[in-house]
Amino acid sequence: MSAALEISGLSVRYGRSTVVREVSFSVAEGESYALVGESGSGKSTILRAVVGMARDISGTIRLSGEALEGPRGRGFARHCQMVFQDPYASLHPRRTVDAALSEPLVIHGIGTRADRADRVIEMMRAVGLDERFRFRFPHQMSGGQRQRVAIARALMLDPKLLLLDEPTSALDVSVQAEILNLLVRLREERGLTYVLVTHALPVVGFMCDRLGVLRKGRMVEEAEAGQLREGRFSDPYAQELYRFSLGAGERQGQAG
Amino acid sequence: MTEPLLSVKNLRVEFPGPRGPVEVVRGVSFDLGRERLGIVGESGSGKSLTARALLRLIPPPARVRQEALRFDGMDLAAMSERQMRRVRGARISMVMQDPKFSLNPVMTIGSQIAEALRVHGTLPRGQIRARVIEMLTQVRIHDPEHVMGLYPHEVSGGMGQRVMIAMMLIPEPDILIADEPTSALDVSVQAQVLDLIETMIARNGMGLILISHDLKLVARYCDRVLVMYRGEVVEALEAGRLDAAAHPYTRGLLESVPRMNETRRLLPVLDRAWDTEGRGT
Repeated sequence: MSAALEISGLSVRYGRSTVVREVSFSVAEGESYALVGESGSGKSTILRAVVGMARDISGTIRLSGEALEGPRGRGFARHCQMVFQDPYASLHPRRTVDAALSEPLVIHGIGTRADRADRVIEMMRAVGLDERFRFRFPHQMSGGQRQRVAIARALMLDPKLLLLDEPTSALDVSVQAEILNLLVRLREERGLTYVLVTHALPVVGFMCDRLGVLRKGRMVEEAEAGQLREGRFSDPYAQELYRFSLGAGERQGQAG
Repeated sequence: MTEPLLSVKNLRVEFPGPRGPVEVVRGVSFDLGRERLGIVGESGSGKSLTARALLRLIPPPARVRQEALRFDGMDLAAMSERQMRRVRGARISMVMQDPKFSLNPVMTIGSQIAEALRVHGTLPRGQIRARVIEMLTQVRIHDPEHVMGLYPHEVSGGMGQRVMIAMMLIPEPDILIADEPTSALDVSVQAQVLDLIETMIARNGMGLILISHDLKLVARYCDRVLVMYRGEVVEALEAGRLDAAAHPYTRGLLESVPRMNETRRLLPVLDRAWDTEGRGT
């Protein structure tokens, strides 16, 4: 069986600067894979390259064995969707939840009006949104609710692969847990494959099987989640990142 | 007993709303000496407004009321705007979240820091440059003369924040308020910036108010922590004794954060059942 996502020798340039250099990794079907690194490491750019938002690329990107080239078509949208960091920016401010969730179905000509309404309600339930939010606008909801809408929108076409770009870093810690739990549950229920981009290593330990550490556009190490939990990295930069993450969150007892 | 450096009693901030005034800070009281105090809460808990109210930086139509707001023997609430300007920056200064928005984009870093000195200080002109260089060195900028000539967009977020700290500390204030000073920064830089604040506070014998949504981070850098929820302080804790937290909100906050060696299949979600006034998330 071919991998859900296979990237080999991917380089991405923005103008004259190369932001991703020769990155290769593959994500098995049903797996949850994390790309971690600091800002400027190229982690988000890799996701943008997958969905066709980065133009100047070389290398190959295969989705379930099929090489992706040129503009992404409708088939791609049904197979792969992306959730962005800030739902306030990624949801249309003047569209209700109902409109945002129905739109993918309308574009793909799925179902009658009544079918679509049923699917919207069903999906809202699946992401834990009460039906009374159906005709609200983004500004009438909290950050956590908006991110639920963004996740629901991504799932409307029943994709297999979900690209998650820092899905909880714009949220309060108290709300983060709800969204992380939701993502874990949805993956189980729907057999989804995740590629998660984040700078928060504890989040990776919670919801991913494997991770790739990026630095200045290069993949410096790939590791199992177990290695991450114990801090067993072989690359010095990966070790450093691990130590810093402990320092910011829960450096215990030592120094200072 | 001597009077604390800063004393806040029953601070209230309200905004006019379509259905009458909404109170967003609801009776906050605390004393601050030359120590490090953390204020933790989620967005909307009133932590940043509390900090701004201390500097009287909340413009109308918001209304700020308090029983007492005293700093170093002075009544801040009764001061004129002119007197207040001599406190802001010079005696109590503030570092905000994102250096991109708090630095002046069309002024070089050197002249911005020098401005802080010129406005508040009495230092002769000739010595200003030397003092700026000294300050930049203190915040661990290795090539201060070069950095002085740069504009804010030419430096990284971490360096921008160090410049902010330099600017805020150069008039030698008594209290530094840091409002989410590192949430716009990468983890590797966060620790550096917080360590720097810690060192500078200790060296100058200042008071610190560190505001964040990250309870563990605040506990690491402070002596005491106030936990705010919906405009009220629901719990005050010794930083070393987070495990002694009794309020369900604080406990939920501690539990709901994923840990590095995470093995839980699902995270406990903050149960707001105790919050009888209710609020959806």
